[in-house]
Amino acid sequence: MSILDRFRRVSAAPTNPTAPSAARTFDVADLYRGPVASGAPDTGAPAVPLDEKLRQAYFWIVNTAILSPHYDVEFNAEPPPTFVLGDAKSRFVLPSAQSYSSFILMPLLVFATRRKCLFIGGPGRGKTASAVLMGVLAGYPVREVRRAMQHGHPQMTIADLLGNPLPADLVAAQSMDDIRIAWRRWLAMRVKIVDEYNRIPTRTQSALLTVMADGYAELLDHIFECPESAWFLTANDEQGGGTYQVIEALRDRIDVVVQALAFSPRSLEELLTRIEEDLRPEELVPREIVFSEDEVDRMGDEIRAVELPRPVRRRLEFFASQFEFCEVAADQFEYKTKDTARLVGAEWGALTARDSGRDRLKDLGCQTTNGLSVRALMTLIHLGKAMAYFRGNRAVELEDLRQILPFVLHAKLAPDQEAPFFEAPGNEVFKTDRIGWLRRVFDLACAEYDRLGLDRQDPVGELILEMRAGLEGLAEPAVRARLAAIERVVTELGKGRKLYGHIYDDLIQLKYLHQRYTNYLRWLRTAG
Amino acid sequence: MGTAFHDFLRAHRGELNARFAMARRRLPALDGAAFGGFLLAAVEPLVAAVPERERAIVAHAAYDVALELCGQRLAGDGARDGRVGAAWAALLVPAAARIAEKPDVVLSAAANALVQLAAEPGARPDEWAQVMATTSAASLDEWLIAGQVAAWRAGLAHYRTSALDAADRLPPALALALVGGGGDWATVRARLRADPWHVPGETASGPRVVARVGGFRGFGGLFPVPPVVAGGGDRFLVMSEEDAWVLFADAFGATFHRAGDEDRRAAAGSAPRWKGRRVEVAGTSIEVPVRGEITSAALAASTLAVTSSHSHALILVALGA
Repeated sequence: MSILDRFRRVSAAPTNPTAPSAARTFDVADLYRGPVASGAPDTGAPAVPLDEKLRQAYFWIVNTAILSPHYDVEFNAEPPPTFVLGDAKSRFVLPSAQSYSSFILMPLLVFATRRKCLFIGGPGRGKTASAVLMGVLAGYPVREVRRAMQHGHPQMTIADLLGNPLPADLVAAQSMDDIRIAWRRWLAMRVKIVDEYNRIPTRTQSALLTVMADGYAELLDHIFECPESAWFLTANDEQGGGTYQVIEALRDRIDVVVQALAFSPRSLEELLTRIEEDLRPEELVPREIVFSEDEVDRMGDEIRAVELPRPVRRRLEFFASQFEFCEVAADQFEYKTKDTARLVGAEWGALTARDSGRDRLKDLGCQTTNGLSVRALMTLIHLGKAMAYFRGNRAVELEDLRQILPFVLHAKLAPDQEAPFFEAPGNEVFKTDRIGWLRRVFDLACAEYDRLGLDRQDPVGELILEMRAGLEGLAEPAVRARLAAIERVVTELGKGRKLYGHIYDDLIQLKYLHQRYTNYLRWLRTAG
Repeated sequence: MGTAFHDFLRAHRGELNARFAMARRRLPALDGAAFGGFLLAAVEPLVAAVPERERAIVAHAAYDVALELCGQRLAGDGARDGRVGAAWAALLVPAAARIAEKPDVVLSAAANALVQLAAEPGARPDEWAQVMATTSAASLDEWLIAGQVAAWRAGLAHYRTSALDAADRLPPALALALVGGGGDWATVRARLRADPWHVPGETASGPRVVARVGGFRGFGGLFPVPPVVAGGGDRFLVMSEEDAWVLFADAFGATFHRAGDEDRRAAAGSAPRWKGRRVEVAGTSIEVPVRGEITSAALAASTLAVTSSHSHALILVALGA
């Protein structure tokens, strides 16, 4: 046992104790589990569940390695004590359930789901240290993780990033096939770290994009297939600016953005100890929280199996439907989107000035200059499941989505800072607080969803469910009745006169359903 | 101070001091004097008892476990429950050969087992240590399994079922030695499985009062008001005001555990009827010596549990197999 094993102590399970969901069984195999760590014997005790292991990893990092007292991912079991402080009347909440530090939690969830995380924040705030820890959690020695880390710099070439053809082969080769490539070792790793990615030249960024997006590297007609990996990138600049502007496609591949918050000087004593004892947390990661490749695979399967219940999914659908619609962007209904306006380079201010019919303060869609991509929504669902899994649940709760959403949409949903919402009293702060703004937008969407009573009455949803049951055996009168029902719902939706994003999306769906039934009706007549 | 341990401390002084400093930051209750005393009393004899080539590794492991026990005030002067430290220390020299095989495994396993035993009122950590000091296990694995059976036998009634399963993985002679009695292990095991109140080598049978468990919270018990009880499978559900516990009981001990919603839901079954102090069980009328009037009665695992209006304790009646 080494000198530093005390530093390697892992939080005892369960790290998030909840009332058991089934009557407990008591197994004597647990006899040797307890407060004294080290060398737990294998006498039939089941392995620690992977979600528990993930939580233990979280608590080890947050308590021992990265000093982050910022518990900004808040969960509450009951109304939390709340205080109003300062001239700005800031709300200070003491969460009543286990809450987390996003700077540690988000990279861990990215690690578990093998997605892509960008750390942003000023220098020396632990961005790179966090990324290195993720590599160590994947079972790589610290030295290997450090050597494999790609450091962005203005002279970085594609060869620096991907590898080199062997010089001897270059001279002797008669064809491209004869040239062997010395691929860089980091390409084969399951945790990939790119430090200061915004300092990489644009051309090299394109090569990086291929590796990130498509999972392979290409050099002189040779292909290297990369394993599925978790990616961790760092940048000092949130907007992706730096020595080189980050290409849009590369930024779009980043799933989660997490900000390194300021160091709390109250933790200075901890730093003192590290200096005096010569401790480096990344070199002291306990073996109990290191994940094998198989474990990460299994964890991924378990996360995907977490249920997203329909009521939660409906609220996400409702939220997502707010943003793409732009009534004045096109004449044809399907093209009334912000993307249509963006593609022709329309001037945003002029476009919004023409949009005079709706209440621009109330309409959530007016707060953004873009809509949500499929990729963003898939990430949101995947990480929502990971959040629920991390908390020991097997179904996503609305609060899981609410907490994960700002970090996923941080770079995906662009605020229109000229929108009336940001000028409203008390909302100016959201011009600089992206996380708070996104959470507020989600809350407003949920409130609107409740106001419309969509949990109780959702005629479009019912029509969609009817269609999903299939057309097999549906007779002509029934089809006609459904077509009439669709037309009735369209009429109802039009009664409000104003079009909003969610109504637009419903209308698009209704048109689709109408088309399916119309085609089926024609087929029935032809076949009959 | 014995030479071997003294040499070890001197050779690793800086390292051990750093470990102590780090442990004290995590465990502020760790007291230097108490820890030093405990090292002398417990670890020094162990280090002297192991072969020379194993001394350093054994001393390192024992030092770390001792730090944890003293830091959690489970050992040394001023311990909140000194039974853990005392039983652990008593076990070390007799089990020195076993410890030398895998010091960190054996020392931490023994400490954790003793912590669990000490946490259950009525369980007997010293008895467990005594059994483990003398058990004749042929290997470390056997020794650890024997420890599981011995822990049940020393009062951890909730481990009864899985401990009997574990005993099947031991040589029959060792299993018999651990549960007591003689004869054929298969027969003894069958009796133990059928009747939680059977003690090998004893002949008591038929309905009889076997235990009074629980007690008033003000006197160190569990219940704020006289409890009521419900049955279900191998355990009882005991409720007092808003709180509820699961109760396991057998001839060797009784343990209570906080009940969750599912434990509450799982408790069911028809309660036996009673009149005065007599409870009807399967056509037999059993007199239960309660104080006041019976308030509830329940059946589980060949046991009748009865509560009464004037007592915070439950009376347990063995019904026989």
